Amino acid sequence: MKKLLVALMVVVLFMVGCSDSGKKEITKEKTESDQVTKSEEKVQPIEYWSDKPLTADVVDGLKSIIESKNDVEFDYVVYTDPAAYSSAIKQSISQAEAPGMFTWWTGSSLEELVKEGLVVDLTDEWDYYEKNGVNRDLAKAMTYDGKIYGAPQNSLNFAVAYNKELFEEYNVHVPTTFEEFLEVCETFKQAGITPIGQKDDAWAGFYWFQQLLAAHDVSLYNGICDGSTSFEDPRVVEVFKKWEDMLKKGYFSEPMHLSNDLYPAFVKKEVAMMMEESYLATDIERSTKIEPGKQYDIFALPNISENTDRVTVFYEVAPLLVAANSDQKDTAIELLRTYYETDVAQFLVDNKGLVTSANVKLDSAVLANYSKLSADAEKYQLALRYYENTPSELRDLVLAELSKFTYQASDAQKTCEELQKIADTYWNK
Amino acid sequence: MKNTKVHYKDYLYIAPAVVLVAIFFIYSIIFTTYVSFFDWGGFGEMEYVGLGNYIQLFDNSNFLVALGNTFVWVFSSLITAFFIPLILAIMIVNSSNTTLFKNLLFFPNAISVTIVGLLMSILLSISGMPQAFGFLGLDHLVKNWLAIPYVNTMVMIVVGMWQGVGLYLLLFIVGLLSIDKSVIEAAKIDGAKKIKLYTKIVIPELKNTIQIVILMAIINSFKVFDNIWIMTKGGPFRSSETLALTMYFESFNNGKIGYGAAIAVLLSLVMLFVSYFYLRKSFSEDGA
Repeated sequence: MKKLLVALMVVVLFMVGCSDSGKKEITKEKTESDQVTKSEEKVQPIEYWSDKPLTADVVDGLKSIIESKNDVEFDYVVYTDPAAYSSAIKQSISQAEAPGMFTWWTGSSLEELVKEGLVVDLTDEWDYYEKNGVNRDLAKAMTYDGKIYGAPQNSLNFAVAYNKELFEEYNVHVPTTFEEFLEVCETFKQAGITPIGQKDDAWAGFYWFQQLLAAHDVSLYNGICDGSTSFEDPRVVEVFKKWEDMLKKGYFSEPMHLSNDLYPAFVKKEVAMMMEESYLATDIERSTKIEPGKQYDIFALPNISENTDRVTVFYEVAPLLVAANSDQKDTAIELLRTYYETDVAQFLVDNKGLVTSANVKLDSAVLANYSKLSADAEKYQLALRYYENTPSELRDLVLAELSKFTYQASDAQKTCEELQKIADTYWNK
Repeated sequence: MKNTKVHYKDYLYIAPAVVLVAIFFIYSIIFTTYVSFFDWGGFGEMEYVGLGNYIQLFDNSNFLVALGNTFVWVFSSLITAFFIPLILAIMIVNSSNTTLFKNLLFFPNAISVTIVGLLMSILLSISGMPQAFGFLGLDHLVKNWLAIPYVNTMVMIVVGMWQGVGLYLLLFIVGLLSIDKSVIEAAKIDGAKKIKLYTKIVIPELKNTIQIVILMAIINSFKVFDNIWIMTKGGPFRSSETLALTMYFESFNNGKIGYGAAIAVLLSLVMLFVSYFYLRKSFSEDGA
């Protein structure tokens, strides 16, 4: 009898241990009266999932601002590994328990969610966002069949960051043509300074690839992205040969860890320039205290002399999506109407460098210069970065090959042939 | 007379464990094998492709590189898990400070793999230990060692060895201390010198321990993931990937769950195959 009781206890404890401990319910109980007073209103839970880590104080601050504007219990849930995050979203997105709002990627990644009907059409909501200073042009990257499926979590531009003090020391001016840029590289190389630092993130192999193609002719870049231009096109091969030449001349550093090695090398004037997105401004200023505008600044990589088009500035829009099947869908849609108001937008800029609205004050001169690149339509034209501008299945294979090329394991002609084989396998399916 | 009464209540004791194993192990194996025959991105419709995922594996250069790297890890583990811990164990057992050396050498094993990976990423970066080469005038060696294709695999194997040697060392020490001393003394009386003593007496006596250590090392190296993910994420250009990483990458990074499942099934089959033949050979030598 004793044995039976113990055995039953073990099973019961196991079942209790495995049971759902219940979702966070902030709902207060309704009174018997039909009149619901303000203190007894339902506070809606809303989860915002992201792969962009924020520190605890920033999360608390964001939560505090959002909850003061909306009747919500706001939770910021972060996954630090993009692959784990992507997997978690895919597993939960079709359920009612899906997060109300979540960050994602544009391009084919967003397209697959749209095709499955898993995200909400936010076309009608964009009037609210625009009213709060969000640039309507950002919607293009989130538009399918004329409908807009996301709101911008962040908008980042690419530019070449340069050590201003080094430039002044060596009497070098910001280049206005690609040829001048190569001369700048040669000047620093002769002086024993690494002209361009590159980080050791293999997925970032497209940075210079997209930039060099566009500097020659942005239609080459667009053609590569949609498969209408071959990697073996002589003009593309020519670009790769110039890139190979730059690599062989030692204009690029060995791959370096971004924050541990590249930032300190940039500040210590061991590296003169690096190609990075706008988050660089917040990251490097926080970690190294480098002074924006005084010690470093940015410029857009200029075109070759023959290319008289506007200079191409690559951008990334990280979309904020609303899960169509989520219980929190309506709460998310309402919350987004206030998400771009000045207090929230300013908080995100000040604490994380996330620029979503034009109505914010940018303390960092460099961050302000990054934003100006997308505002000055006379000088610059925008192009979506390669990562989202080509099908993900093709992109991942191309990135591995580009990374190999960057690490000087391959030559230009062979690389273009390999890349075309990869492209053919995909486009001929 | 035999008591053939079935004690149903006894099954209640093992029920929780059985349920857990069934859900998280058996069901996972069945589901993974099932998914490996489909093209599936994690949501939406599953498209049946038969052996298509498996055929695609051998057309994929990343898979072949990963397969090669995995076998490099496996063969290296045979050296790092056998020779080095065994030699160290013999030295420790014959030393006067057994406890001190044992603790010192086991200490790395007690550190989290993630912490070790992060520490090594910093130490092996350009501004870390490679700077020492610069002081020696070897500027061409001042690089991020984890960013050098294929060299980084050997570096990570050394890091894995540094961290893993403690466990195998302990097993060998236990094995050495449990050898009947009279056998050793008899051999010494018969004139067996050091090398002959160890090769003809000690190592044969340690056979069971050696079998366990080698099997553990083989299985651990087939499924090595943490060190590589933290230190290189399989890069640069996927050159340091092993099968476990390729499986993770394809499934969760590239959203090809079916393809990743095929890699998981293949990896499991290879491990089963190797383990089966190794154990069969070991047991047949025992005369079992």
